[in-house]
Amino acid sequence: MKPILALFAVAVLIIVWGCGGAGGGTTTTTNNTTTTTTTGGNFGEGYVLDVRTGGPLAQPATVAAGSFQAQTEPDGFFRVEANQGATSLNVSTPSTVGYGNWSFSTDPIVGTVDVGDLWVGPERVQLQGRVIDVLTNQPVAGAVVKFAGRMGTTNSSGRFTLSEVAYTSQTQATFWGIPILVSAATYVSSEFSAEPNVAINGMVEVGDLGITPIGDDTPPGIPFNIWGRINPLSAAPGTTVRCLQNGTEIRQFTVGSDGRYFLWVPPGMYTLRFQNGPLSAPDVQVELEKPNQVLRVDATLQ
Amino acid sequence: MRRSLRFLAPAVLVLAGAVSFGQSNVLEVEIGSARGGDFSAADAAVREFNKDLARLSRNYRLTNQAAGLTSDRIQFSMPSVVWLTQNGKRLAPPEPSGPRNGAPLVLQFDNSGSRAFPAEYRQVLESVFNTAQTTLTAIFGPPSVGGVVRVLNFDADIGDRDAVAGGYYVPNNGMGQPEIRFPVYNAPETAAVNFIHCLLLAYLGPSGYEYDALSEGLVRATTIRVSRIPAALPAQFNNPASRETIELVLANSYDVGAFYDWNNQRALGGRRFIAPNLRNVPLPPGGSLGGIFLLRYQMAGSAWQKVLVEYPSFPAEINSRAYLNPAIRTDIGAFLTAAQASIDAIGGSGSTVEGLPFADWFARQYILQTYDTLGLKLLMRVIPLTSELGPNEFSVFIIEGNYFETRAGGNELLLSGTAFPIFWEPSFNRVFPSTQDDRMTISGAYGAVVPTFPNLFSGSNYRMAVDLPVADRLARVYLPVGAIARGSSAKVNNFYGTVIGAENVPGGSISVRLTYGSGQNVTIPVQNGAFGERIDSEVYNLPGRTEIRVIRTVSGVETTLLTRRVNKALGALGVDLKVDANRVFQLVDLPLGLSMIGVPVQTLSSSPSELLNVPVSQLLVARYNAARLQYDLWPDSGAFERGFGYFVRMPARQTVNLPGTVDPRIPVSVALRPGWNMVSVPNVQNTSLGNITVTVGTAFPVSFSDAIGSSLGADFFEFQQDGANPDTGSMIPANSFQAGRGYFVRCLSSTGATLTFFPSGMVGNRAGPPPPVAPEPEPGFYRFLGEFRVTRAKTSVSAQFGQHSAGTMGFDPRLDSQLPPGLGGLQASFGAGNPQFRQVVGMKDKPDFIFKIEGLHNGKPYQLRYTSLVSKAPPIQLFPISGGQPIILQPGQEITLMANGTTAQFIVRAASGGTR
Repeated sequence: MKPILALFAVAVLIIVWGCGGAGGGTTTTTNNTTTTTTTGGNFGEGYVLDVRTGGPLAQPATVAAGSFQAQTEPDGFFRVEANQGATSLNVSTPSTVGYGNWSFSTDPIVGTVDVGDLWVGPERVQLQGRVIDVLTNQPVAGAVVKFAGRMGTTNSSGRFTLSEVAYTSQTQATFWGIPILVSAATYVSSEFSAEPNVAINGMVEVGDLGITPIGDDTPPGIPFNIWGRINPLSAAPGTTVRCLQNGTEIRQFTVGSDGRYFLWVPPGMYTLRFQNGPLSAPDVQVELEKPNQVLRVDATLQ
Repeated sequence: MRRSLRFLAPAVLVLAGAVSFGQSNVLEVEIGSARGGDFSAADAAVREFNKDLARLSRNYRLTNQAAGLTSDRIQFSMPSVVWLTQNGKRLAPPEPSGPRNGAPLVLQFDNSGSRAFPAEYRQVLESVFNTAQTTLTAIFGPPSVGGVVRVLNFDADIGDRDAVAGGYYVPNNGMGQPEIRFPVYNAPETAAVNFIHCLLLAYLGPSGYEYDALSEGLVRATTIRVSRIPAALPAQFNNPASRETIELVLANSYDVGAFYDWNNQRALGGRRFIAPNLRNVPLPPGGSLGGIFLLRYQMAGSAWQKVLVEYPSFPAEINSRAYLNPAIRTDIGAFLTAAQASIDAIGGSGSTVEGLPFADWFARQYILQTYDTLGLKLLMRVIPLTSELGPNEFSVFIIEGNYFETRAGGNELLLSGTAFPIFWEPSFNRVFPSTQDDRMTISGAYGAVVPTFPNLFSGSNYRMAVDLPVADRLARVYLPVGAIARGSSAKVNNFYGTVIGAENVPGGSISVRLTYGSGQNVTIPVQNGAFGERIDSEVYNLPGRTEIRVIRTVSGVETTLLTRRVNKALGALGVDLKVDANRVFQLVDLPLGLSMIGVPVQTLSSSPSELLNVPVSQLLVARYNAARLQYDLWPDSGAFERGFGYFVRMPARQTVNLPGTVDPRIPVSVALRPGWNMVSVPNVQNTSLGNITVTVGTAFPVSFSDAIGSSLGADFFEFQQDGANPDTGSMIPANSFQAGRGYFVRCLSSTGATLTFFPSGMVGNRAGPPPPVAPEPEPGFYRFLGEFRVTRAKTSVSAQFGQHSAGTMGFDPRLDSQLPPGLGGLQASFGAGNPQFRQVVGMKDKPDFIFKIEGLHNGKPYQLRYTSLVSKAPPIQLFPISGGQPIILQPGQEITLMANGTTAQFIVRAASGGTR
């Protein structure tokens, strides 16, 4: 069979098998487009998961969308009917689990909507942080932050706060493994981890989450474990940064217009020397203890 | 003073009364200053440990039940060694109460009291020991320390009977005595198997191996072997029902059975099978295993079972050496030397395992890699469904994803995320079995789909390649679809597998010939890369040596393409046969200083230090992590992964050999995460862009050029070392992927993407590579596209500028392309803000292009050449921003610039009648 024919044959098969999906709809696929038509109502589907274990609850939870209800399956999956455009789901955990009731906001439910993983747990905390542009370090307003079934938007300061986030003080093995998803117009969507932060007084502060502009993204520079800025910036370009070990020069970096230098060296004791024509800065002694340790050493030319 | 046991976060595990898994599979229980008689803290720790394992076992059993693999009658076990520690140090090994090495164990049971077993149960255990002892000693060697071992009933303490998972061994109970603490199992067969396991741990005594892969692996393999020798167990178990129960116990927690090849994945490796931080984390009640440690235990048992198939007395040989030389128990080099000496002692000089010298064989078993590697790990596990298939179900597999990150100290972070499995039929068209299998939700490190694969080839078997990309990790397995069990037939095959790299010719056929027992042969045709057969032979069913050949037959003439020896376990055998897969790829003359390398092979070693031949103290390896927007510096960069690019800093010029395996003559994939990715060709062939497809989520694959601007950035880059300073360099745009080189590729899709590299020729139904998709013309047209190239000595960089009907003054990922900030090396760019490799504006825009050169060496001459790339570029004027007369350049002209600083900047303006 010629490749193009095989491809087409596969597409036809999908039409047949697509009907075996989650129910209520048909899927039609051509070589490059997929159209899903759902009939018979609006449904939210996803998983209810336990932040303590990383898996489903030991007993089924009840998921409600208005007057509609559904029970979670053994793996935590649920599919609940909803009024068209519904934007909230309520999860009632069984009394034996004892996590109480949880309310989640969702995208409007029209047709079948995957609402993702709804995490519940023995504790509820706030998760907060700030979204910044990695190139400018400026806050990004209007970025959407999703975590553990919670969703929020950054304010003009780039800050966000997600409330009622599932948590357990017993272990962070699962909590840190849940991705913090950050998306914003003209930025590459990125995932972050809450690690190594833990809840203090009911608050998990994850600090700055840097996202990269689509239009201004650049390949990364070279790897480094000693770096710094040369001040003043106006005098920085052309500065030669020398790295010496036992008096022998082992690295050299010529500073560009961004005023920064980068050195990549094995663990050890080093001397950094800065020179730009008649200008120089005092030598700096540094000790790198581990290869994955990153030191910042700024210098001011005089 | 009694200290209560506390289960605390990993960071504070060292507190009194806490438990941890230290080195090897040893459960360490800190008893603080209490040296005396109250060891309830230790008991409580182990109870909790066993409870976790029991829950795991129940879940695992449910999974296997769903797969039709096991019954619900079987209890699991995970006996372990428990060391009591005081102030962080192990209590001294027991003073032997009898003769040391060579003396037998003497079991001592309590006759009464809470630690006494029911008489009947005790009788079973005593009977097991008395019957098995000779066999244990024959296979495993005599105990390292003979004498009294107490055997105590801890069933009541463990509490919830359903939660009881197994017994454990205590080398020193705090009073100088070793103890086996054992529960009461419902099934005597379960008790027998698990008691053998505990006895073997007692045989090792205080002389156990430092790594789980060795200690636990050898014990489990020996348990498998002993349990299957009818004479080694009391006569009461010598009946079909008991034998079946024993086999099920072994299948559940000692042996991975037919699926060794599929599970032989790098993620298994490490010093410890259970991550220290997960010791006290409850296991999820769903299908998740809460990590992959049970699979590790099974794989370790299976790996060593392969050795025992050829050398049944291997454990005795290696143990006798290890008891005399402690270095063998802690140093892998010493262990490998001793292991080769052991098989030589049994089988004669030059003995091999599965046809390989011991060290080579050992290196190919990822479960036996004791080197802790950090970073993301992804393991794909597959289980074929062989029963209760619907009549129209052609082939069904459970596909599990296990996704975690290994951190310092062997801790594991259970990750969550979404994966979009890609199913490739033999010609590498993407197949969508059913909508619910297009997406795998991973939570707490675990996700699963259960696709039903279609009958694509009129009833013939076929090979399905399954790629599971998660973030920038990708796991692949090859499944023999239709070759194991079909809903239309009651027949379940017991020899099956896939073949890749076997090049057929017109009129030829490919087959697999299995030789087993005393030379019995069976030849099975390979259909679309897969084969399966039922061999109704008791000899075949037994564990034993086999030889498997892949044969091409043309006009009755056979050519052997591959010969592989496999020591099979009991029952079925599944194999993943790769013709011409072993390669040593050379990174020729890797220069002193910075290089960006690519890894085209699946390296056998997990140690970059070993592969690069650079001491750990000097090792500099880094891989960019787009999720963290910074480099992962070794050791965080982990083991070298096929298809990844890395920066390395070599201390001297050197040719580096990368021994490993490839997937020959077949497309191989690499996963991209959003942002910049360091990748390479995951194969030893250079690959042009026309032979690369890009897959995003549940969409059909598109060509590389079609993906530009939607899921991929406009350009991808390679690193060029600076001619004058080897620790700096430039990013230059690339136009193809060379094997062994690393590249920066930018992924624009928020869900990531998968690059699939097609070889220049393919086998199977495909006559050649996928039809190269001609780059789709940009919508619109260029007025011109020009290039400036700056050259000095061997260093050359370039940047482009132009006008296009679809261009804008802003950034358009289909036309414009970015460059990195200064790396300290020579770099050319356009743009006033962030540097661009290519800046294209609209027809009506009238910009002054800003052209910048960085990384110049003061006082040195540089050649600047102006070239017309598309349409006829106009003559231009070059205005130095620092002042001075403009230079007029025609396309094709070259001038010499003398650097008077490290940076030069120009305004580029079309001469009259040009761009303005």
